[in-house]
Amino acid sequence: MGDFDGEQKELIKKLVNFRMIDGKRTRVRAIVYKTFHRLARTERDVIKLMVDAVDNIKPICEVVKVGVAGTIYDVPGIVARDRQQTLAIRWIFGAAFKRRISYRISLEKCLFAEILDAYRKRGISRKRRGNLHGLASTNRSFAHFRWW
Amino acid sequence: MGRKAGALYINPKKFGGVTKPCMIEMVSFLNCLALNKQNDDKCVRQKDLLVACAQAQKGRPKNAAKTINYHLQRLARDKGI
Repeated sequence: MGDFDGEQKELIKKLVNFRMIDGKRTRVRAIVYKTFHRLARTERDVIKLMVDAVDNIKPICEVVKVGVAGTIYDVPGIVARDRQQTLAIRWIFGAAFKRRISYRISLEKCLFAEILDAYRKRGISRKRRGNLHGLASTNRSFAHFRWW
Repeated sequence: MGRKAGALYINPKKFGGVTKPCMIEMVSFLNCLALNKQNDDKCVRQKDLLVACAQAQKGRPKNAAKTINYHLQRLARDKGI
């Protein structure tokens, strides 16, 4: 990890920490690095591919439930930069987990497939981002309820 | 439209611009998405404007402008209404 900048290091740390259960970091790190090795066969610069994949999944707008006069509205708002990355990684891992349940193959294969799909602007996580943006654009008429 | 606190008239629109940052950019981006059937590859310009605006808001203090209710309470405290 010598020649990476701060943001790239943070991204790899987040990738490992997000999937960690019961503090078993070594186990998750092995899965993430195996995924990186798989990605290295298809693309030379793995970190660039990973960053681009996460950037393609990052949502810009999201909806927040706001109660106004006894009615709950979905009010669109801007997503903070840290939360964008958090949501992107969460969705990628969630999609990989879904694939694993569906096709009964190892998690690193599923994660590899999902990251490649995200890089090519398709896949489950990309669809989820599209759904969120769709919901925000549907409720754009309630944007004036936003106070934050 | 405004509200009176004692002899002082408060216009709530005055605080609107500060408390709701990037409103215009966000609405234009969402309108673009609605027009292009959620395909944000065609809304690159609006997206860049929104991201730039969001980045500019980063250094702004959280409670730069307090709400109108805060100002009304403050004035009521001072006047003893």
